[in-house]
Amino acid sequence: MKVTGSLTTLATKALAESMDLNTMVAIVRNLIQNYDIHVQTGISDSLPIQRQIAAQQIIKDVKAKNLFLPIIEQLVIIHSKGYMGKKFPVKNLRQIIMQLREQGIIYDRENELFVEDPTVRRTRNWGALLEGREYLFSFLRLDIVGNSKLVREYSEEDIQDTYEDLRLMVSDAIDRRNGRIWSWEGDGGLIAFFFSNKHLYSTLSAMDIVHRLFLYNQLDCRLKSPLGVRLAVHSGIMEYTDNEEELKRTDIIKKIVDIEAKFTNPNSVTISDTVEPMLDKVLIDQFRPVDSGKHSKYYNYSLRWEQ
Amino acid sequence: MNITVFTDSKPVKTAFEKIEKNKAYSVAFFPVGDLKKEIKKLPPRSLLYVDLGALAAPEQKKTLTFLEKQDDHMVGVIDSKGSIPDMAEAFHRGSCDFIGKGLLKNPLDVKRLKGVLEYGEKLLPEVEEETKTAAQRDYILSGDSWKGIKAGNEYTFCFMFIEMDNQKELKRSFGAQNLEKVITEFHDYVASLVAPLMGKIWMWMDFGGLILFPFDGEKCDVILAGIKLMMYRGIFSVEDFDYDMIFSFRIALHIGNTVYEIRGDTGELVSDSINSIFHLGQKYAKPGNLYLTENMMEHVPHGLEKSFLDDGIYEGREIFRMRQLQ
Repeated sequence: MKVTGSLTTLATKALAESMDLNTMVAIVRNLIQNYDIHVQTGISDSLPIQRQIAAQQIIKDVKAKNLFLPIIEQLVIIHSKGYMGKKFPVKNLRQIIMQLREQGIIYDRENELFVEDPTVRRTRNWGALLEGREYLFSFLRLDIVGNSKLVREYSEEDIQDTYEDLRLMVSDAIDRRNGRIWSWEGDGGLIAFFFSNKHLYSTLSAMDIVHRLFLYNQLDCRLKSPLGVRLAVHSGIMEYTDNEEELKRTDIIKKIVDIEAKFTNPNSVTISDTVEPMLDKVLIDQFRPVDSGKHSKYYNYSLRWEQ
Repeated sequence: MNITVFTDSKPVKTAFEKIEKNKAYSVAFFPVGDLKKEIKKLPPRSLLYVDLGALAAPEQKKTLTFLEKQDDHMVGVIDSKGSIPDMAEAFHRGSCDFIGKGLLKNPLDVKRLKGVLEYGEKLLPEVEEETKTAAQRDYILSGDSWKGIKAGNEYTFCFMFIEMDNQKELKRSFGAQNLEKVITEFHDYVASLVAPLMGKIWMWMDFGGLILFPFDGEKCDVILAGIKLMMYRGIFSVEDFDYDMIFSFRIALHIGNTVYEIRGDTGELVSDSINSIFHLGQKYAKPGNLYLTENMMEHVPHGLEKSFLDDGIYEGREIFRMRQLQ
């Protein structure tokens, strides 16, 4: 995101006019450990630093480290909840939030984070998650059954068109539930959910894709036999990364791949034992238990016509 | 007899001139690129020709695969450029005729066409009952939008009856005041779903109502909308409502005539179609099921015909029930 001159000025004023030097430094140390304002400004330890100069330096440093939004999030929290047991009204906060909204960034109260407005733009990290930080995600993985065989059997055009149809179905199902495609390899992909009721949204997205495929296979599929896709939903805490190879090595992703490959029939979705307890009974009742070994209890959802 | 030819080639059009001049036949030409769009508009059991000659080999294959699925039409293949290496493949895939480059040099004659039709008829699925056209059914088509529909006039509409099941249980568990809120939300949800398809809630009683869709004699999107309503109830009950229950409802779909009056002014309407659909929805339909009358069944999207079972005759109309989704 672009931090405009106006936002920089407002944020600098917010710091300088709302708190003393120690509070400013304490706040920035939540984001940058061992932050030393004297080192950063080049002003000797023995000399006092004016609040305006300190605030300018802090905003300059957080901008350089791509931590501008996190420091504003800190300001929103102390403005609404106070700091060290005291009320702490932060000046100019309303204007800052308004300017961010104009840039397509909105405040998510539940997660206490600034995120991109999904009606304006959609990026991989919702415009909020930081590389290397841990977050709780819910994932949806999907994989086309028998990809190699299909590629041999059909023309490249038929395959490309069919896979593009699938991608459109997936995008439509996940976009409305604020999911993000983290990887797409032609024959399948991985979708992440972070905000709101992530377990519910990832599960409903998967069910929605099962429904769309069900109709697609009967109405629009170009292939002689139905397009088969296996889906799995699993959740857990992991460090956010942009690196897809690193992502594949995480335990959560290994497990979701395992659930999808070993415990899921084509055109159905299997949800893991970390997702199931987070869902309402009325939803889980639509699933059937899967025989998944002693320690795990998975549930599967599929659609079929009455015989 | 109407013959539809998809071609971009002038010699092909010329070859059909003799047939065009015969009063028994009419020929309509469309660009090959319009095939998927126009084929949907053709009545069942039509004869159509598609010129694959100018298409690249992969596109020829793709189009043949598409045509193979059109088993309710008679399909002939034209090769205006002589580029199809295996003409037998067209027949293996269910075509009833193949017109090669050589044959196009002379006008096609009616005798040959009669032979094609005779053979093509044999390839079509058997018809149990003669399909009646819109005109034979006394339809007064209302069009594809509400633009031309005026209060006080009679039109043919697609009717959707929808009503929530388990009414006694709902009354007991929600109480009168909360139940009103639940029903209002359900009403609004249904209205939002049918609005993009030009559907308007026309009458609403305690637990459900009657929705009208303009009908142009061809398009019946309401069937797919009904199927989706049934299919998605397990999702929308959780995602769009917060009542800890899965909504169960009955749907009945019918095409019929009625005088149109604006919502709220319908108290004195007398219509066989309205009576029929209310009887079907309220007296005949079982909870959680979707039903079509025979007129509506003719418009089920190709590929979903087998999703409906013959459910017998009710009030003189053949009724079809959608298979339950499990």
